[in-house]
Amino acid sequence: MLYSMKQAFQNIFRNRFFSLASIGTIGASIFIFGVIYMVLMNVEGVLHSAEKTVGITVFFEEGTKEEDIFLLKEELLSGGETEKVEYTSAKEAWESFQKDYFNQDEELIKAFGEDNPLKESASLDIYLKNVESQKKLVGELKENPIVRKVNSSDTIAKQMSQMNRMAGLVSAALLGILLIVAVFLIQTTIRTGIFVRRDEIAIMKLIGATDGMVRAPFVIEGIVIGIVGACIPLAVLYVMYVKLGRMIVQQFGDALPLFSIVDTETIFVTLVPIAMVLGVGIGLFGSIITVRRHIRV
Amino acid sequence: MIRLENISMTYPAGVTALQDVSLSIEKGEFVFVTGSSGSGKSTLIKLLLCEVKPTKGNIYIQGKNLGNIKRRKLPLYRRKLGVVFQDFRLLKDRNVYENVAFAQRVIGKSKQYIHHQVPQILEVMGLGDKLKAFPNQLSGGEQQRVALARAVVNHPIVLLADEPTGNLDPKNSMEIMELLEEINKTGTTVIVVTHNLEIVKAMKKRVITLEKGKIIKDERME
Ligand SMILES: Nc1ncnc2c1ncn2[C@@H]1O[C@H](COP(=O)(O)OP(=O)(O)OP(=O)(O)O)[C@@H](O)[C@H]1O
Ligand SMILES: [Mg+2]
Repeated sequence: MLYSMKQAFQNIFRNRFFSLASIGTIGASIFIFGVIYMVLMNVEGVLHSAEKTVGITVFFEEGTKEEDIFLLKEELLSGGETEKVEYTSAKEAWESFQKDYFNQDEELIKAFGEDNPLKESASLDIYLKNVESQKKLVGELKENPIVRKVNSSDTIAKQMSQMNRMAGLVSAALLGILLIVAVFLIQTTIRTGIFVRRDEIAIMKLIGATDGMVRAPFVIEGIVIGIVGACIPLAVLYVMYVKLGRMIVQQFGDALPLFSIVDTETIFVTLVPIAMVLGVGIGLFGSIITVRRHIRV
Repeated sequence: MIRLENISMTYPAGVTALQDVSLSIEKGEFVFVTGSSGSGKSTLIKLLLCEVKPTKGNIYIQGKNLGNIKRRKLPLYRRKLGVVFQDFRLLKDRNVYENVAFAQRVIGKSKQYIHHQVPQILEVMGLGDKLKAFPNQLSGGEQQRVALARAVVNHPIVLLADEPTGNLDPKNSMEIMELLEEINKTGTTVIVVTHNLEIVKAMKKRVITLEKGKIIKDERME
């Protein structure tokens, strides 16, 4: 075992060019994966807070009874797609309007007397669990005879979720290509290593080494390349995230209150294991298939 | 102990290297195999090493049919054999000690055991003072003695030597032969392929002569 490890490191060193190329591609794959992951996590975070604040506001036809509105509210809540539904009565709407715009001006308020100019303004504010169900729900609400008008921040929500999905798709494709390149390069690295050591391998076989013993150094080589290929981008990503995150918050923190950066810990607690599994996985996979094809007793 | 029954060997390329060869070798025998170039001598060694499989016939070693050995068990079988070649096949980037220690490490011997055994066997081979030398710093005869040390360090029951003196001058050749005879005296069966008829005559052993893949002579030199 110790011997195999020593051989593995020797292989990597002797075969510097391909080893570095492999580490480089694995590193690049994982780096790109990490960047995508961070962006997606943050977009997800923003979307999530967006989902909490932006929603749908429903206004009702004149003369709609409160019971009917409450019935709709119950229906929406039991539908499972809504996070929260708030009812604002016409009276409340008028009072809040008065407060906001008349500045408690007694005269003005008196001028209106008992008349409520906003008597059609009873509304339901609907907060969705998921932006994607918004379109369907708006459609359904418009069909409802008691509904007069539906306001929704449809476009923003749609664009955001579409962007999110697009980014995910593009990055998955990119990542896929990079992973294939990485596996290919590992194979080349290992194959070169096998070629360089072919005499030794032949002698080992004649002496009675098992497949496992002959293969072990090459598989370890693959794993080491995978681990190094994962650690380097993780370190770079960590530094980058901390620095860049601080910068972004300083620059835009005031302008975009919605926008908050996901904690470094939250990201790395999942990113580190994923990257490690990815790196070791690629290394193991690449080396095992090569070694199985090229080294047989 | 070694028995070949009607062995024929045709390479995938279509060359027939051995044709209906039968022979048996007893435990502790010393046997020369000679014959002109291309007569199938190396093929015989390869068959015994299970590097190639015969197209016809069976090979038995210690009563076991080689054709029935599973691929996974092949390494264990090979550990019973020692082998040396004309071109020595040493690892050029390791010194003498490491070249021999390598053979023991491959079969999982402990470091202490290796440390004890390797200098001892190299002493027997007359290389006690060359442990740290690299193959390119040794003469042909010395290199072959390293190879021999590597072949016997694990106490094989059969030692196969394919033209072990092919690259050596007469003096070195005789030294190697004497070492082979020493090894044979410890009970190891020794099979030596050689072109060198002078050596064959001098050693007075059993000689199997191949010609075009067939045994044409099998006699004891007196
Ligand atoms: N791997 C191979 N593929 C095809 N033909 C082969 C192979 N190895 C040997 N042969 C052929 O088989 C025949 C016997 O070869 P072999 O190596 O056994 O002869 P040899 O007696 O050892 O000869 P030499 O004294 O020159 O070493 C030759 O005709 C050779 O060309
Ligand atoms: Mg030959």
